[in-house]
Amino acid sequence: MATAVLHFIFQLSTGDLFPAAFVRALLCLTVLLGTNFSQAQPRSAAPEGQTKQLELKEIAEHGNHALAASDYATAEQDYKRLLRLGMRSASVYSNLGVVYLRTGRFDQAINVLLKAKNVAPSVAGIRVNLGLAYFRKHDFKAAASYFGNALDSKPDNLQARYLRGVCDFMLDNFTAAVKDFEPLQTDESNDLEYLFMLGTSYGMLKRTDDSLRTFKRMVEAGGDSPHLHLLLGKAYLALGQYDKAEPELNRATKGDSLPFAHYYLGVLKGQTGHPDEAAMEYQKEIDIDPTNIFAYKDLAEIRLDEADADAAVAILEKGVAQNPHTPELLATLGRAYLRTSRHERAILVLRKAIALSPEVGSYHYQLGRAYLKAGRRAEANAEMALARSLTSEAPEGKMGALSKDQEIIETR
Amino acid sequence: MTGLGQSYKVIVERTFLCLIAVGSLTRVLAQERCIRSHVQHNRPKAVPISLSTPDRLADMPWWPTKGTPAREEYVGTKVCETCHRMKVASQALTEMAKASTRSPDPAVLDALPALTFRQGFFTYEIERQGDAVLASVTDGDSSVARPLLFAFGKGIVGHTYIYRADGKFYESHVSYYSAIRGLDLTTGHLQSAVPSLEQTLGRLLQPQEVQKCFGCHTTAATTSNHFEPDQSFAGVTCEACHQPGAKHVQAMMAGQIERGKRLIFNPARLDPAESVDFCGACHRTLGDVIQMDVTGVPTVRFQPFRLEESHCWIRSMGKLTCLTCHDPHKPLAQDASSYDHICIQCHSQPGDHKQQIHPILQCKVGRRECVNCHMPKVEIPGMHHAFVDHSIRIQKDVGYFPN
Repeated sequence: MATAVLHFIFQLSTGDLFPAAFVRALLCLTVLLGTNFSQAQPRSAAPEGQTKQLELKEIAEHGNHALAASDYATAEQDYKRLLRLGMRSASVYSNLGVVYLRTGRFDQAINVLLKAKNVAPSVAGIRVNLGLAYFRKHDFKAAASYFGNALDSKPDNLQARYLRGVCDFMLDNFTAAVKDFEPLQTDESNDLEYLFMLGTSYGMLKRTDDSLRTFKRMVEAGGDSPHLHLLLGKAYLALGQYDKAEPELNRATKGDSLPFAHYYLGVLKGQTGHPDEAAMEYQKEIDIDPTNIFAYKDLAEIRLDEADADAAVAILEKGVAQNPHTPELLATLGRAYLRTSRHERAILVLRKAIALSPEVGSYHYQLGRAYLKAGRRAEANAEMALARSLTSEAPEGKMGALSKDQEIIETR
Repeated sequence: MTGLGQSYKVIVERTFLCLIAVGSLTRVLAQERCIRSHVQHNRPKAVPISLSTPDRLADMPWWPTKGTPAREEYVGTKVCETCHRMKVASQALTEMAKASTRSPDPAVLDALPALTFRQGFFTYEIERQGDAVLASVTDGDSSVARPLLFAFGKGIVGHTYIYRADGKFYESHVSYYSAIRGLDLTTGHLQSAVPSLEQTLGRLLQPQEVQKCFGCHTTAATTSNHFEPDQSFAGVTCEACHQPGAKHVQAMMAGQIERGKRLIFNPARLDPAESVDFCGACHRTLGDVIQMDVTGVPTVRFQPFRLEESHCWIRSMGKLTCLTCHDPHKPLAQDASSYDHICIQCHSQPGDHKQQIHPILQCKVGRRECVNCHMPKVEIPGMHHAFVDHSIRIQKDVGYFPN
């Protein structure tokens, strides 16, 4: 075990081989967010009378109570009622945003949080929540900007600093990531994810000694825990060292309780050409965590590859029932419906996916294809044109390898 | 009698009026039909819709890289040659036919300087050992050498080598580049030192990835949905595009000519979008690029996608396909002026545009070697080669690469 870890540390210290984009993608799936949202302070917006003010206060307290008890449906109902009654305060908008965030409705969260920000532009917590909403949408650039805004007014906001560091890490901006992570060393010194990102960032910046020191601490802090084995397994997986990744991921799955352990073992099995075993691991992951959208998606992709579109549809319908606001699952379900010639159903779910993420060109492409199959040529053309324009407007640098090659060539 | 006479008169009058009305109506309808026909004639048809290769593979009975037919269904070029001698001979000279070579020809190495490349502590070498070609890497203390299985690439840009170790396929970490007559890092591989020599020599290819590589660089590497590259034909051969030919040959030999014709796939009969997507099965379609969400300079290698981004494609409603300029049975014409007549077909006389679907501009600068200006070459960093950008355009800003 020690040899394996040291070997792993050595690999990370070699720096530029580490496929950052893949690590980011892996990490992106597992970062657990500490969403310490502030509770709304009931504050009426010019109520007409004492009785109404009391009523508003009561509803706000009821909503806050429901939010604290994770009863999101009740909380949403209360906050919406307050808005209908004319109480347009920052705390109501903000807490409704938190409800949307926690129920995975990120666009709706952004919408109300922007309203909260307009009412109370100086409140740092609202900007942190906005950053979180963008973070959960994987728009790390926008998220980093909001976390930065929050830090401008409140530099000691550790949550904002940590999350901006994660965004920087995801965006390959390792210098900025280290700058944000380093001040947190005391507070986060036992957080394995944090140490993993900091150590990797040092490695990328060729700060070998710092990288080795950080990974040594990660191994000490992780002990023989499944979490450490998961991180090591993921790292080996990213490096393409499947023979070393497998035992680590097997250790991570012991106890069958750690989310993503079976998922990554499934990824490994899939990448090494064992789709049946991969499918079994994805199913185990779903049994442990029915909200893991990636497990549903990858399991369905295996069935689609096997030309078993009906099985894929069944998996995805279950996934969508568990995670109704996930555009990736809806879009894959649309694709699976198309394979089973259920064109109208495909159109329906693809429209839902686009309503949630209108900026994704491939969803418009799939909808265009669904229209085409349904014989609705004009609508197909319109969607394809949209897909085309969205692809054309995609930011430069999506092929990260290109800019990396450029840098390497220049420094060679 | 008077009553009857009057009635008769009325009937005649009404009949006469009716005839006039019918005549007028017929004339109006004819005019309308004429107008509608004119409008229809001038109205642009729908823009062809490009689909992704996985969608084409799922929808079409035959499509390049399809791995469903059995090995026995393939006959090989020697059999095709018996009837299509000229076509096969000409196709053998194309770049596609040379998309791969099984076990690189050792004689080629004799004509080159020593192929070595140094990176950090490691020295790479592609060397001849008897009849085999080996790729090796050493860190000074120990070394690893593997016999090369395939060389991918037609040699204009260079070659990337494929080898096998422990039943797994690897892509060599270094490639041969024609422009520098030497080795450099393989495109997409990051420059770094890695701990194991095996990993330093090459990158492990994942099963799906290696299947795709062989799918486009060889013929029949995947049959009956099983990947078996040892039984493949090197390069893109007849059956990579026209589908496996055993049934076609059988019917033709039995004198069932019409049936035989139906048993071979003729890509020339595809509609414009299908035709460009057909080439895009390996060269990438617009649908593929949308699904991949890739932008920027690397897309210059995806010629069908770049063509489908061109005004010439969009505004001509697919009149211009890959086949307009390229004959897949003949080597690629390298002389820029050899394409002029195709451009001139549309961009000819100033007055001609009135006859066309859309106004076509005549070039104010020149009438020769159009592609040199309107299809500029773009170099992908690290590839030591400039690729012709198939996004045909008026260059307003030299060096600008439209996404």
